[in-house]
Amino acid sequence: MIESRSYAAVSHRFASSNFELHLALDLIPGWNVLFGPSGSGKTTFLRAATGLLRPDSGLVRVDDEVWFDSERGIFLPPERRNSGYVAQRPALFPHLTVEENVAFGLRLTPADTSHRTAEMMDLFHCSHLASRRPDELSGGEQQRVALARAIARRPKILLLDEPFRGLDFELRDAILSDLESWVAASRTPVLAVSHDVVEICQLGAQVTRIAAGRVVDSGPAATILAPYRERILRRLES
Amino acid sequence: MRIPSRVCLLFALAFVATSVLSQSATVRVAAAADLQPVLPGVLADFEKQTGKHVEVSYASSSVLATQLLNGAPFDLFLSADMGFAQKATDAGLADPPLEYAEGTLVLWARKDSPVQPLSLDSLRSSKLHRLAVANPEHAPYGRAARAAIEHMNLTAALHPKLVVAENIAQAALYAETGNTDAGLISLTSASTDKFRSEGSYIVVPRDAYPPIAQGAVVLKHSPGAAGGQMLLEFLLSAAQQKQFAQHGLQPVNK
Amino acid sequence: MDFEALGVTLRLAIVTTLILLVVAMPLAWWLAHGRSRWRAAVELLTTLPLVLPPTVLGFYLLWLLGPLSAPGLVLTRWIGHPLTFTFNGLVIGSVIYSLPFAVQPLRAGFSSVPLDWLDTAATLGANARQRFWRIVLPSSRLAIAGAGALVFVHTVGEFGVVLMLGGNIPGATRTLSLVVYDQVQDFRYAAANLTSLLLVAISLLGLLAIYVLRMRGRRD
Repeated sequence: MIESRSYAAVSHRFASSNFELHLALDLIPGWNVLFGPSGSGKTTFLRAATGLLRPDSGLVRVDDEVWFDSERGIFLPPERRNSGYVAQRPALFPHLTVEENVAFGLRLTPADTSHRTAEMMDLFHCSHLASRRPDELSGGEQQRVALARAIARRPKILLLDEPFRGLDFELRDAILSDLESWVAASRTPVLAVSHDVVEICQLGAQVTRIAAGRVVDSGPAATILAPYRERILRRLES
Repeated sequence: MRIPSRVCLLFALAFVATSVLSQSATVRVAAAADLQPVLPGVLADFEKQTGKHVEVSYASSSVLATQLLNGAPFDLFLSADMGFAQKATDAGLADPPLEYAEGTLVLWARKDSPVQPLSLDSLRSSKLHRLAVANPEHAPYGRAARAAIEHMNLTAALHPKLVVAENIAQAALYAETGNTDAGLISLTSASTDKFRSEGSYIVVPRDAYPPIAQGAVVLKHSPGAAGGQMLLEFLLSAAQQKQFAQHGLQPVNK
Repeated sequence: MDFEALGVTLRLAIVTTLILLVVAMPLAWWLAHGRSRWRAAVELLTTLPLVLPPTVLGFYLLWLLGPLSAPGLVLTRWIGHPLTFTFNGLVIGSVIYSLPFAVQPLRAGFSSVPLDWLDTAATLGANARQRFWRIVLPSSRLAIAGAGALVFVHTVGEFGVVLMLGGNIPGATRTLSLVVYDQVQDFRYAAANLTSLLLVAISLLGLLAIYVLRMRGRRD
């Protein structure tokens, strides 16, 4: 087993619905994919990792920084964690331009800020949109900007909640390849969650399957998605 | 719990019936603000004697006159002067006013006011920063206050210190709450237990201002006019006039 | 036409609006997103001036600002005279009187800022104060302008509080609404009509502004 420097264990019970989440994951550099149906706790787990949710108990350690430890009473609020988070909806700030959105989290000198912003927009091929407003962008363009914004701060972990929802296959591939180059270069752990089989295929790598708040299975994408493969092939052939 | 509609109807009818019934047995009085300390006791006696219930609205005489001219349903108007009562007469709503009492202007201040010990010279004192008076334009006691100040040659000196209240009761309120150092208020207010315990007063000399002759009119076209007339006669009776004296209103039948 | 009273009315409305916006914004923000148990109680208190008769409010303020109450005594000693019958005292009264008219629309505007934006801003390193200045305020421009216009119009029409607390002092506390009242009491109906028309005109302009802002808000 690879000794990972990042690790997240979350136990939480929602009083209103009685839903319980008990999840523990090693977060290796590169892709960590969580696959499960709606309501299985994927988003809750992500929010616990960012600090937007304070779980009943658990431990979140990223790159030797302890962000949450219920036993020692440690809890860092989201603004004190350097995590990149892209929610299901891009949540771009409508009163700011694309460039201002990307620069939002940066606390650098003006010169460094514009340098880093340009670099990020280049990476995701949205430099030509710099002075546009979010409501002028297409879904795919918005997602690119959201990703650029999330990683502009060089986060210690990137958290993606169904990042390609609503985007077509080609667009997903295009955006993914932009993202992959960054992930490979920075060796940042990426935790991506989704319930979409095709999206999981495209994300590839190691997949952990969860259901009703618990880990059910874990392994390469091909193995985990095998049951679906049969059904899809049968459909395509009929 | 759903209340059956028949019960609702019954309640509605009972409500209307009692209001209609009480209309005829009720006398509605428009009374000047300075009568507020005096009337309740007097009216209680009236109710005991005649069984008629009285409803009173207190306001400055000017406001009441305006309301009457615009159709307010009063039976008797007790003004703080003759002029505003006369307005009702001029509009054809009543016979010429009858004087029912005479008001007295006093200077009142709280026990802890900076102008204590109180005297007429307190009006000249530099310790007097604010003086409450009723509005000289519409309130008879305000007119009297203005006349008295002029009589003492203090118009210019006191002008920046005057706080003008809407009516004489409000002027008393300003003085009583300590928001002004003193007030030129009615003797009726100053004679109450509250004002006696909280401060002291000096009577302003009678010759300093024209008499505050308080006039009353019965609104003769009002359905309750008979009750109003009864009440007016009651107020003019010797016994009641004596009562007035105890509360700061000078009787007319001396 | 009493231009002095017009000046007092406008000055009172402008000063009250500015002060109230500054005071009401943090309050509305806390009511919209705070998590304290006291929220319900505070919300009730801020709504109270809405249902209290203005004369009752004026009476309580008369007592509160006068030397008979503890805070009034402190104020009186500090300033040298009671705040009643002064322009500043009237401002305090107006601020309390119009408080709900600022807090309610601001709170509604702040609550309508999607939580997504605030969450994302937090993950991007913005603390509560920064989230307020960089996300909430810019997104609530229309709500803020609307609240301001509402407070302005409400203050222009103020009467009961001014009557109790003001002392009708020309140049300081004699507002247009008091002028109308006096003119009516003097049976000068022509003058009263003129002054009333002016008040109605000012209020209409303010309401028009509110309406336009609301339409613009709906279009976005």
